[in-house]
Amino acid sequence: MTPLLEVRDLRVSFPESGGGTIHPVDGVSFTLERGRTLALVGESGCGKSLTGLALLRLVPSPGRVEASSAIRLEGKDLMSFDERAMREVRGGRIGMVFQDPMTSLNPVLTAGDQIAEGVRAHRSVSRSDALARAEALLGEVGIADPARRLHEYPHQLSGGMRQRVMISIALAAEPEILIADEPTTALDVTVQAQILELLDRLRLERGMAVLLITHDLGVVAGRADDMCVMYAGQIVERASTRQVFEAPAHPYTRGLFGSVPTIAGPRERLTPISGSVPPPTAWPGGCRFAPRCPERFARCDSMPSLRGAAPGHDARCWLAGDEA
Amino acid sequence: MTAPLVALAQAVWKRPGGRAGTIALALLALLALCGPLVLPSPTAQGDLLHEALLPPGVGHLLGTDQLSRDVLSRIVSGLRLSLIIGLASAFLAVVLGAAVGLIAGARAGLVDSVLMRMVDALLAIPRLFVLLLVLAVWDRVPLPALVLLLALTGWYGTSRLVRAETVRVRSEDFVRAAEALGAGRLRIALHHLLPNVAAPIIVAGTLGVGDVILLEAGLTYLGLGIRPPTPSLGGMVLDSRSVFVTAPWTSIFPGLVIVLTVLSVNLVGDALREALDPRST
Repeated sequence: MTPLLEVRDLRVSFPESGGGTIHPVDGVSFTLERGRTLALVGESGCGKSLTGLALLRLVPSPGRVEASSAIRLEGKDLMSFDERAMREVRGGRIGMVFQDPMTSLNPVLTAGDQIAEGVRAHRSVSRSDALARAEALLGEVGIADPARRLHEYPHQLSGGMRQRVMISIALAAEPEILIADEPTTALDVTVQAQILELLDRLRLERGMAVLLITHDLGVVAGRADDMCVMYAGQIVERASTRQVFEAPAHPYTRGLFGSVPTIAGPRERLTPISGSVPPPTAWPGGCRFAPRCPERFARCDSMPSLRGAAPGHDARCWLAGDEA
Repeated sequence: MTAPLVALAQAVWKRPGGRAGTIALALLALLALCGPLVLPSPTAQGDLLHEALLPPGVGHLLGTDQLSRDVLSRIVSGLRLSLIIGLASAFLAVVLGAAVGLIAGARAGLVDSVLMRMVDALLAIPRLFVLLLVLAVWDRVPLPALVLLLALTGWYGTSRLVRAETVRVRSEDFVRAAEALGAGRLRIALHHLLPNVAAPIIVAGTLGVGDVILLEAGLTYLGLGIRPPTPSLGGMVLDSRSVFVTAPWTSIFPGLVIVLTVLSVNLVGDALREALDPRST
């Protein structure tokens, strides 16, 4: 059976002022199945948000998705779609929730108007029908008194409520895939959990696939079925969430876990990853993590490919798998 | 959009200048609307020998001019004309300017460059020069044509303002969110960009009214623009030059009304600008 979404060798390029080209997303491949949650994890600047935008072919100008990339939605390559067909996909088949609900809602339109807009962008229904649908959606995402909230402006809503509104906008046209780009980063911790639970419930109820983009391993644990760890525009580890949490195969992933405090077990000093993510203009020629890697050796001067560390578990590291 | 507009009106009303300007404008508009119902005809002449250049008094509240016409009646008619011209051409100018600015800002690229270079070129031609040239050639220009002329020469500034704001709003997250929702280009321009650039459009439109009233008065004073016997404020000042020393009321009162009208329009405009400025609340 064809997977719901199959991304092969996704590459986004930006022209550089000096005349060169940089690739903030550089050959990303993954598969998203129906009803499952795939987490895309990485630090800021690793290209995970750009990957999300690239799936909708919404890379900000002057960047572009390179033609060699393949984004197959049920086998049909979105790269061959024209702008009109892409508009059908955006919101209609792939919905997107953005990080900051403060700035992602139009301040001069009511919540209801914005949800109704999502409905009407893909269904030919009357305004009042769209508003009725919006009210139902607000109820579905757990907003109390939806009839009143429908007519309120974003500044009248709390952060959590705004994110719920964002989610109902993304759901308005009943997409099969929901891309959630750091959906909880801008929210209070207590609200974060509620929003994540909501996304989970909606996924189950609607059989949607969710692409969860986050920098927070705590968000991934227990919520995502599979995960991809991104570093410097590439996927460095790809496996089921359980496998990655049990036996991280890439030194970068291990570094991430080492930077997160745990509640269980003895109290240990956190071991941060030394250095910082290099900008796309300063990526090393070999393994991109090598300069920060505690386990580097001579072979790291050439780029490793994503290789099997275990069945169903890939890592972009020379130390992964049997060849090491 | 109705709730923000009500809030805006309240914010203007809260400011002393905005309130004074609004009240003054309302009174002037009331005068312009209802004055003709109770006042003598602005073109009616009385006895030229005994009723010309009467000082302000009971029969003629603001006196009469050298042709024995009631000054107040003429002021009211002139004011009405000034307000109509000011509102109509400022409205047309702001619609045109906003449309050009929105298209340039939303489309970006070549369309933007071409439109904005065109505006640069138009801005390099002095407005008064163009108007003087056209009006000098076009004798007895009809009112709609005058309104159109003033509008066609008054939209450049607005278009640049709106374009700059549109470019700023275009990079906002909610515009990207709308794109991710599958909204088309037109929908984004009208639904997401336009309402968010409404502030400078409203301010430019309001201040434009004052500009146009002043410009029309100036043109008429130069003998172009509105021609006698149609009463106009600028024309009244022009006609009474020769009797300024002996009958100052014939020019001072129309002059004062011009000042008062433009001042109150600008007060409202400034209050709007302050109310719409996010840094002041």
